[in-house]
Amino acid sequence: MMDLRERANRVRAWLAARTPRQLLLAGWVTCILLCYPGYLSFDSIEQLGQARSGHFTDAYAPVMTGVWSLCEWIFAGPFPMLALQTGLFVFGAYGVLKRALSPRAAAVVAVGVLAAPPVFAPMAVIWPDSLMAGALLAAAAALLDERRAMKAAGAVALVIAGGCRPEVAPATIPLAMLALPASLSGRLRRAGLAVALVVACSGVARLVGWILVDDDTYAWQQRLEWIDVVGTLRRAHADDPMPGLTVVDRARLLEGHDAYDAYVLTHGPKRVAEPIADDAQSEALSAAWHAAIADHFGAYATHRGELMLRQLGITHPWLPVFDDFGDPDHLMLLHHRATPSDLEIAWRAIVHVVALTPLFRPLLYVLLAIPAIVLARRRRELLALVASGVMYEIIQLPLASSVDYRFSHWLVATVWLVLVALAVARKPAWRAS
Amino acid sequence: MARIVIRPRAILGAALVVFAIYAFPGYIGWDTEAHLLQARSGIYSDAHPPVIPALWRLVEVFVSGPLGMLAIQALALLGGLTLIFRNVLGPRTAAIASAAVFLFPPVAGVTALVVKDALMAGFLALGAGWLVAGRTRRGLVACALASAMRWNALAATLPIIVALLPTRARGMRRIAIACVAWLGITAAAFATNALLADRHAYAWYGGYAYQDIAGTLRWMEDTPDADARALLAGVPLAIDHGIQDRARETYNALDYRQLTSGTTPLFDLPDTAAERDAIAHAWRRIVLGHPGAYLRYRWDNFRTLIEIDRPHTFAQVYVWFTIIAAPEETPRLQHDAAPSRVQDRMRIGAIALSNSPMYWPWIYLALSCVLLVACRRMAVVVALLASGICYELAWFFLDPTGDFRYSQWMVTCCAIAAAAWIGRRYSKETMRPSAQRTESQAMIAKLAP
Repeated sequence: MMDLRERANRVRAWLAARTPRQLLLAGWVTCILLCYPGYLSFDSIEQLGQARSGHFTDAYAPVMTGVWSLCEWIFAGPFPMLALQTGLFVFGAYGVLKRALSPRAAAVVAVGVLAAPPVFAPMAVIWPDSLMAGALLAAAAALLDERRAMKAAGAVALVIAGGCRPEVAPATIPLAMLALPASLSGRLRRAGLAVALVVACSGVARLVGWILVDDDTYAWQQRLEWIDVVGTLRRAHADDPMPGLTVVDRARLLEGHDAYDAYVLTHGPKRVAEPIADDAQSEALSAAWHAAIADHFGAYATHRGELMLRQLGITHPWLPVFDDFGDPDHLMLLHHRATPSDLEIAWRAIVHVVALTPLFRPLLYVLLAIPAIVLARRRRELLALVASGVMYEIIQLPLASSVDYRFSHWLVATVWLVLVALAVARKPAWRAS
Repeated sequence: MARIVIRPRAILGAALVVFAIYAFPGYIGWDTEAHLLQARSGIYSDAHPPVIPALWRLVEVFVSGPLGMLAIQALALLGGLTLIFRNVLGPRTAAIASAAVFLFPPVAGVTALVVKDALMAGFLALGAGWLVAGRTRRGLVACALASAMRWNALAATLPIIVALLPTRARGMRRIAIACVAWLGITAAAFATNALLADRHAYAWYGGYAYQDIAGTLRWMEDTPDADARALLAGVPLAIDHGIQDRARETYNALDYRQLTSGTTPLFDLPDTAAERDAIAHAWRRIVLGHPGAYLRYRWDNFRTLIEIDRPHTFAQVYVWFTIIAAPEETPRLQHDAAPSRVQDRMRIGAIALSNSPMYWPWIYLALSCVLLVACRRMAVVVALLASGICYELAWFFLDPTGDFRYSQWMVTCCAIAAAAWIGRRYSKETMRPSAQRTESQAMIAKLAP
């Protein structure tokens, strides 16, 4: 008995002797093992194909495809991207949290939040949203640093985040404000400088994307505008000639009440219209989109409101977890195939059980964001994080192109980080000195 | 100008990263597939040491596929090298020497393949490193693990344990204690493998025994069919007459598969215990009864193993993620991978190097003998060289197919000795004798009751 106690004490002493960096590394490796070598959806597999072939389209965030292509110089497959996005997340979170917590507590919280199933589930998949979350946290940490090189690295991280999801730009303004020295006076001046930084980073991201793309597929436009046009027209029960667009079945155009999946609307035997393929059709779709919003604004607002309710996990069956290594037939040409370890199988089961609880409903995090903002008002780094998360969620109202838990991931991650950090900081020994 | 000092840990980390880029997530050959499939099925055969699939089963709890095993064999080897070099060199020189030996193409080329030879080498290096550092229990466990990874590892563990086992005894008593320890760990390794085996494959009868019988028949004086049949009484033969002619026609000192398959087989595979007994008896009659012919055939095998006159082959290094000769095996493995761009170039370079003299084991065998004299004052190096030479010479009787990986341990030991010798001679940081003496005294004090 004494031996056991002594041994336990020794283990405790050994753990206590680990540095925050060692804890971070151990936690990072463990999180990678929970989903090694990284889950791949259909889109991820297509994007890997583009990264490997060097032929980029705008169907998948080209900046992210470029990053993946660079990673493929060193390690092939999804693993380097998994390591990158989780690494940016955990080290970025540590960099921000150590301002509010002791280094040790910050390391434990950073790893713990990454491993929390609602945060972990999308981070395990090679998606733009996961890389964006990692890049935003890394950007926040780097922008908080006093060194000029780190601030430059933060700007690069903002470019990557903006390249993954262009619509995140407004949500990066609170993070960009962290780059400004505390001595800088004037709220308007600070806000102006932050907006300028965000505009510059978004512009660079867009420019890099434009340079990298070989084929324009109008993917982002189609994903958003087709669902808005069809969804609005269906709710308004109004037909629209939609000049310049190829409508396959006009009766099907007004069938049903809503439309939340652009792919179904433009592909398969039940498609409503043909996907757009050139600039003329792109302009025609934009014109139809503007017309639908202008002519039937009430229906458009209802359509977007309903989409948002679904996005918050309120009104619809909810499948927030994706954990698959990809279809072997689809992956055959890419020479990638993986099976889960026992640890991964067990962790998947845990994540699936947690997914049944409200912890995977974004509405909970919208509600929790309010106390988080109030409680974090005196900690600018935590306030910036949660403000960024809330802004990104608000952006989904007009810009979400479908219903998917990963679109709310940034809100979920920031609320988790801020609330856990605030809870931990209640103990004086765990606060930053 | 400020001098940049690279810390030993950074050197070792960089070596590990370079190796990871070359090997990630681990190369897979026929033996690797057998280990992995057994690990996943939970049914272990004794065709290969069952400890390997058992270990892999354990590893797959945490990480699926070859990466975990690759990490074990690579980290064990690098860790072992570091411990060994720390005994004879200063910390920074030791790190450089460890990294150099670890990344030396003939060493890294085998370590990158998940295979029993690399696992054995890793545990042997770790065992030697711990023993020389005075960590007796850990060292013996690592040596036992090495013994469990290959049946013939006992030839490599003997010199290491005899020379490096820390004990207060001296002279013959010390050797006797070390021999008992060696016997103990060898017996433990064999017993563990025997206990873990669920299915007997009787690999010796249908492979190695046939190879020895046919090889010896090839070089025996002309033997009429009647005499040959008498020698092979009870052995399942594929032909009735022209037995020795067929043995001469199908002779290949580096393979046994042609003896039971293809268009001109000599034997059928044994099915019954009686047939296996007959093969064992025939082996004794033919091999032990004709030592000259047996040794002639074994020399043919050995000289090819050590590359004295091996015909050109496509590659002596295995750099594929699935079995290159059998792509249909990929679905069974449920594993596939592609190389990164840098890795692809490294693989091409590794193949080119594998066909250069760098992969001629006889050079390392000769160099080991020379270094044995040059490094005679470094006990750990002498022990390792003796281990490498013994292990290589054991292949004279045991080598079935002449793969380069069989020589990896000797090459590793030779590289360690060369690096230690160079480090001692040219590094200013080399551990001073006084430091060594202090360390030895500290070790003896620790051992004292």
